[in-house]
Amino acid sequence: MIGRGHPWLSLAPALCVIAVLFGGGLVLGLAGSFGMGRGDAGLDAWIAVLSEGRVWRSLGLSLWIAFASTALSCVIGLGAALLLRRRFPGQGMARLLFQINLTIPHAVGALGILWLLSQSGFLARLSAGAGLIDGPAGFPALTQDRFAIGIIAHYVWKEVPFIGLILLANMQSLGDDPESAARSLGASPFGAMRLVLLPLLRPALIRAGAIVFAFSFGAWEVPVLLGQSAPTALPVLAWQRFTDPDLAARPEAMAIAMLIGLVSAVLIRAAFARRE
Amino acid sequence: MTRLTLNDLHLRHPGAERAALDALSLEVADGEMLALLGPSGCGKTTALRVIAGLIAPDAGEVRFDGTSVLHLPPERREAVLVFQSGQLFAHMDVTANVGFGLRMQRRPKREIAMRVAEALEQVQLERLGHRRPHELSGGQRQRVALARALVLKPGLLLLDEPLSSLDAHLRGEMRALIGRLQRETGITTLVVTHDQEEAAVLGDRVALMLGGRIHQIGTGAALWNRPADLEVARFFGGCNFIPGRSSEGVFDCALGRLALPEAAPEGEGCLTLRPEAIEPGEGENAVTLRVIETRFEGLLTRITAEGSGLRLEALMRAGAARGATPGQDIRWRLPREALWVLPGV
Amino acid sequence: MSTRARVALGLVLIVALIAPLLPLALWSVARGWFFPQILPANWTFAPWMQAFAPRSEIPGALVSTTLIALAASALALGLGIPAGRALGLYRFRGKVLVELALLAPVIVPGIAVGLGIHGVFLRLGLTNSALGVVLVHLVPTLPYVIFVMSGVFANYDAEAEAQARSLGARPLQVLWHVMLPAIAPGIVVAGLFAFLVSWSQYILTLTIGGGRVVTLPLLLYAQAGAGRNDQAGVLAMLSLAPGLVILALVARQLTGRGMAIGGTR
Repeated sequence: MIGRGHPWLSLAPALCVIAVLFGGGLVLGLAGSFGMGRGDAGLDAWIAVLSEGRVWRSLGLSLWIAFASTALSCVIGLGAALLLRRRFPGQGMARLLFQINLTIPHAVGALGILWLLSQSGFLARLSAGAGLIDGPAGFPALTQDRFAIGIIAHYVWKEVPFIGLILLANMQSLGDDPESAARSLGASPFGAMRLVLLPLLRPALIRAGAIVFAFSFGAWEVPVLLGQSAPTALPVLAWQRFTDPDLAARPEAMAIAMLIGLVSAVLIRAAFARRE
Repeated sequence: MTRLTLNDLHLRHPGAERAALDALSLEVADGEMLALLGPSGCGKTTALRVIAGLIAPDAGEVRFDGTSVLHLPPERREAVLVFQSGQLFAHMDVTANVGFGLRMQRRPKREIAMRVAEALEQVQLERLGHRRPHELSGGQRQRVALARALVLKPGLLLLDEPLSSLDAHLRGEMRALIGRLQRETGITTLVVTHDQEEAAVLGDRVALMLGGRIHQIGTGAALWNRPADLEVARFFGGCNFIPGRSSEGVFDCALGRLALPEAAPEGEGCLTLRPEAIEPGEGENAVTLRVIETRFEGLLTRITAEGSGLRLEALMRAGAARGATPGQDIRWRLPREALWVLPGV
Repeated sequence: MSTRARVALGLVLIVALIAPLLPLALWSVARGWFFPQILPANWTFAPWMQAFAPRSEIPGALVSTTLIALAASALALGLGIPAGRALGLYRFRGKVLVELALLAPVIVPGIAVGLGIHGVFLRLGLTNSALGVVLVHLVPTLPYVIFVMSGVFANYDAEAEAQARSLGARPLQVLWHVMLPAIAPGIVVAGLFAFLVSWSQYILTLTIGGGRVVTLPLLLYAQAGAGRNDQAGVLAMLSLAPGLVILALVARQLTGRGMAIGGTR
């Protein structure tokens, strides 16, 4: 503990747990996707999965959800951070609410979004009250819809504070000086932001964005509540196969799960590889 | 180039107890290099930022060549601020950093390339244009920051502690470079520092700032030997203060009648003289004192001596200090030219 | 941007952030809130009474969610503090790799590893048990604790320990009197947020618990799915509570970054 420490000794217990749980989960998942432990080991499940139109449609839907959620969260999160970094009346309140949002479980938020946006939800009732629609059918389908608007709305709602707070923390540690220096050298306020502040924030934004992307790509509880029944998001499809009474579907579930893991792994590699 | 006038500037940072700028007035002549000297927290960096347009003062005026610039945003002022930390943009290489201001002016690419190369040559970094800031040494970073400002040929150059982040041996080099470039370009320069020696060497004149206002402006020697008030004298390490009365070139005090230099202030006050000005031996203004303590301080020895209820401290080289042992009476000469009177203290 | 525009945009932001919580809160005190009523016609505490009535599943779920989260965060702290110390204080070969290995479980979605972990736990006899759920919650909580603690230790001066030894303290005394007081605030933050992360888990709980281990999020969806919106509303409010309490407790000592990472996912 004291003096020249043994970092590996202190790390060992934690790394072992992660290796067994996370590593073991990945290895067994992979083995399961090849049908190992079932007698008929082979590529059957992967071939079945990769040649199935539903899987590709689900993959496409999940990618769309992840792209749209990440892009919107980053843009709005950046805007919110730029808004909240300067003092204005009510700034403290806004910052606090910003943080509250982060502590809310996804399941709770998703249910809230459902009851807010569905055709009999709070917004629909407000519209009816304002005389804009006659009945639930008059309200646009924002949940369980083709474009996954409800799902994306949930992720944006939940992740804007995440992105915003990371950027705020970065802005705080950068301070005003880089922008002040740019201004003194002749840059306009917008120029200083675009040419100096944003490039300096970029690494943090990319990493935070990657985390948002991976999560909105792979979460289950949000699309299961807010998504339409077909095509479903990829994680929902994996769970359907996993819980299929026909145990033969399990290797396919594992293959889909591995597919999800693969996409996130590629992302981590891309976003976190260049560590300085 | 530009003449800078600060007029009665007031500024209090939100939530701060004391004002950062308290009736600050100052004039820097066209082409002059003025050193703004003061302890940390005296408001000198705030003053630079107000001049650069990064903070608005609560009251007062900032004029360039007699014209108010308070309504101008920083990018449209003729002044460029070089930050203490250099503030090189980490995501740009040296060339892009130096060319930043010219790009903001939308100069043609060829002109930018030419002027950047020229500026890098001025600071002797012509080979490092492709480096990133983190690949530079502290001294190199500071020189890039300087080149980045000079390339714009500003009317007024504001340097915030340009040497403080450098090692001692680099300081002299950088100080010489700043001095040379300022003479060559003739750009009006305001350099902020907390280091007396640096201020004296760099500035044509030195302005001492204490508690948000200027206490005295003059040559380094004038501030050193002819302090305007007690605080100035204390800031420069003054430790000898003898109460008495000055009239007609003579100071009456417990030590007797001491001859004063010309133009010394008249009336009740304190006589001050720097400890290193005291000489051993006889002559004009010689006094008898008893040695209390001697302390070896390396190059010099500090001798404390007492007489007529007054204490004086002298700093002497080893040879001059020899023979001064505690309990012994000695004769010290207080050279007339080294004496000065702080009136009303 | 003008101050007025800032205030206006800030208001829009605040409204958007609270909006989804509104129907949840309303349902928990409503009876028969039918379309197109904007607000419930009957306000009542009946859903809350019912939620804590003898035959309700909610108290049990509340207890098991709490116990699981406590156990998971305690385990995560026990394993994570030494690991965080190693990462925060020392430079060693392979450190970047370790950090990446610890980052992966935070980013790789639960379902991608959950199904495989189910296989591991099946062999260990840990499925359908609270213990299995506690262990699987280490996957998201442990890396988080390690990252927070490594940040805490990066700002901790280990020289103080050498100083204490030189002043005559034994190793355990150093641990207790020097290290722990210095890192205590960090431990509190890491522990509280590990608790929150575990508290919010859904798919890992469902996969390993197999529906036998019922936590609040699972019950929330079950009640909403069964059309018991009032009970779901109560469950949603209960699920929000610890986050709000924890935020109130630690808001002052949090940087935005730490907070952001501590967000539940």
